[in-house]
Amino acid sequence: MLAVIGALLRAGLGFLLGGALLYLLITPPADWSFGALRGLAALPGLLPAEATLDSLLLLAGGALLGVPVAALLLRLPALAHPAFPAVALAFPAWVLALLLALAWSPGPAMALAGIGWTAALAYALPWRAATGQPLMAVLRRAPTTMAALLAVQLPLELHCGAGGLAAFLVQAKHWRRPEESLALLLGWLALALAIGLLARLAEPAAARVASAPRPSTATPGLRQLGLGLVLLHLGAALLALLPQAWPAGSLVERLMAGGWPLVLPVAAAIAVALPLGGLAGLAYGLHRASPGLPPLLASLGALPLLLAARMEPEEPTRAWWLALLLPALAGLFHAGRTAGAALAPQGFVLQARLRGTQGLALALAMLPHAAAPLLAAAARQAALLLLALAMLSAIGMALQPPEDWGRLLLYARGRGGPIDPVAVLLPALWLGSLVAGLLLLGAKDRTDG
Amino acid sequence: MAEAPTLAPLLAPGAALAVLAPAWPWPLPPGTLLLPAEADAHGGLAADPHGGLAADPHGGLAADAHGGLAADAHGGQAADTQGGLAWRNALTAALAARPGLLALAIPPLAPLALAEVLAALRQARRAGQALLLLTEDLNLATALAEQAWLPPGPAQPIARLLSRPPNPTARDLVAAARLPSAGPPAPPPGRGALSLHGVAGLPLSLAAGEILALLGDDPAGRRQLALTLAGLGAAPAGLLALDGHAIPWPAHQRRAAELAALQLLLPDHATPLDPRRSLGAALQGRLHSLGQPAARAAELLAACGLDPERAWQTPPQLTPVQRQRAQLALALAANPLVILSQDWTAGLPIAAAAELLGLLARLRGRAAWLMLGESLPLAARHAHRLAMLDQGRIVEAGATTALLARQAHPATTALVALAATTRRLAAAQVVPITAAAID
Repeated sequence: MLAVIGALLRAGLGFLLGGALLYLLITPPADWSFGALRGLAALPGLLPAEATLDSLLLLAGGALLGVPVAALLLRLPALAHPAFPAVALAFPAWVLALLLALAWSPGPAMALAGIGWTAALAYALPWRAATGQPLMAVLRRAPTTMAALLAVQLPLELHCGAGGLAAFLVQAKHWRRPEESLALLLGWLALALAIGLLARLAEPAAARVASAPRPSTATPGLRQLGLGLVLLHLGAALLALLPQAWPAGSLVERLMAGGWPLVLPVAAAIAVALPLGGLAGLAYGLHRASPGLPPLLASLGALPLLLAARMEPEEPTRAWWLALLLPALAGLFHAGRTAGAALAPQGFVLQARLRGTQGLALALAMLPHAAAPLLAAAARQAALLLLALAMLSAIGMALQPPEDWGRLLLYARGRGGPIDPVAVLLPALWLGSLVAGLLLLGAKDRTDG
Repeated sequence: MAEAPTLAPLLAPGAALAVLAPAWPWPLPPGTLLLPAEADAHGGLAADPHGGLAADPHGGLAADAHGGLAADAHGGQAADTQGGLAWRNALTAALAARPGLLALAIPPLAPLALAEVLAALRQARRAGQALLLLTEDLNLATALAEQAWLPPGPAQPIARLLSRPPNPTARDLVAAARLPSAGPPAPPPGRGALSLHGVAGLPLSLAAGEILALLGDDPAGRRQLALTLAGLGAAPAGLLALDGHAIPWPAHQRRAAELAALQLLLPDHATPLDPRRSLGAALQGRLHSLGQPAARAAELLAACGLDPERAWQTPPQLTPVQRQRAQLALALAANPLVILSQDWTAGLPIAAAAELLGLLARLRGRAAWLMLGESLPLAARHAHRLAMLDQGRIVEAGATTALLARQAHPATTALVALAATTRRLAAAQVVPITAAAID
């Protein structure tokens, strides 16, 4: 039991230290004071400007709050439901969107809830199979395994959040000089390496848990539901292209049209990353079964978003595209690698290699066997990118001209006037439903989403 | 589900029944503990009194859709790198639980490990433990039990089953378990086809047309060795020479002719055929890349005992035996110099295994055949020489006849002793005075 608490605390501390480390790395040493902490970490946009140490406490509090919430989740039968991960992962999108929209109204409690929820998911999702059993029995079974899982799981869960985290960091406006940017880059690299190393150490235990049976997240019905949601969005967006399909200038019209500036770049990035990253990952996984790379890769995948957050471009630059493309490449490379590693010991792959097929040719030959996991990963990756872009946009970091869902949230937040609840809820729900649809469409077969 | 009245006397202390069918379709009596061949450290399973099987999510029991227990001891993909250690731990736990009846299937184990398991089971029987062994290996059955049951039909003493097999299935089982006393005549001397220097212990070479059976170790160890020899897996420490020339390692550095010269046959559970490609497409592609006429495809299929109609079926539509025939056709298409087979017939009915091995021996022409891991009685029918593996190294080798008569390494002794069990029992019936030699 102590070991479990220790593991949870460690994970929470990791969450906390990651943010603190980032902040310290991008802040000149002279500013290392409580005064400088005012802009810290994830939540300056969510908090009153007077907030200082609060943001730090919020992060720590959220990570700790996640522990009892995870304990409650583990008792919840719904945890085993195949749709749970997709809905739960999209849920923060709704919560965060709301938080952002309501930012200057009393936010800390809601921010705490958002962080706590994300942390709780990170703790509970790997244990989906164990739901319904007494918590203590679940936890006692393999405390070291749980620690290992946290080490493996957290970086992946944080991958998505890191982009947003970075965007918030920009608000601090502390790092405009090149050497500070370099420090940020190196700091993130060091953090990624540390996470990767931790995950590497935890590998054997994690593999043991991964081999245990888990409820599948992929069922035909849910796939269809996901497909239905995605098609609904597509149809609505296509309809918005017609003149006067919706009342001109209304919120609905802006909402329907607001998807294009987000979806098109994401679709383009996926369309490039799927053949490039997926095939390269497949080739890598087919030839080398070395673990340890993925968490590192996932963490590195968040780096470009971090940089993109800095750019605030008026129109898409090459760097902006790269920032979008690199996480997609990293994610799909990871998916391809996993699929390739699963295929590598199969007899027909061995026979193909004994016929002299290797490298990209082998990956191409085995593509039909890896198509399903790769396409699912593409849908997941699209959901995460969409979420990240919308979040950036919601805090004013998107491309300027088009009005997207995030920008709608930003406008709803206004400049101190009263908030129109419909103007906030509608974009949040609309974005959340597309993200959930894509996540359902891309549900993994055995592991959790 | 049919009643199984023959089980009642079995619950007597110390009784043991060997069920020779590949599957177990009947309900087991209450108080039975199941130990499938795939059991891991989480132990065996309590049989559901209602006839179904209470499948513990961690037990890894292979229960089929009809509630039967797939008791095929060699079919599991138990790629246990620790030589069945997890299963042996599960056995220890199961014996310590002292169930009313222990129903078990023994996974493929290294000879010395198997000897230890048999000793433990015999000791448990002496202590009053009733056993139900699910196997197709009559040697194993004879070594543990006196009664055998080949459903349908009543259980009967194994000695009677051996002397008067009641049906063709029983005759196949008896034939497949009978260890010949001598190997086939030596092949005409030819050039060296494959030689290993320091790859896995002893230097070893195969002449053209020669068959060498490499036995011992568990499937995981044999797979590793086979992949190393084929040019995949772990890098070998020694030298590999094909047709007198050292060949590069790994495989992708080899020239096309060198690749074609060595063909690997894998067990069915390793999915050696691309499940999405029809046989015909795979075979045509293979012949095309080898620069051979497409017309050979039908000829090869027919030679391997496959209806050419099947050419447009994909592997999942075929039976395991048909898949292995198809794999043979693909290998023979290359006109190889050496055929390397690793547990090729694992998981197949023993009669089919015997037939497939005979087919390969007949069709290979002048190709040398390095046979890894078949049952000793079957291997000894074809192999000119036998070699013994222990922990990845060849510890003993010799002409089949000589090695069957005299063994130097304890692993070889254990293997030959077990394989000769039915032969000894048959001999004991003629000369009853040596009956004590059974145990």
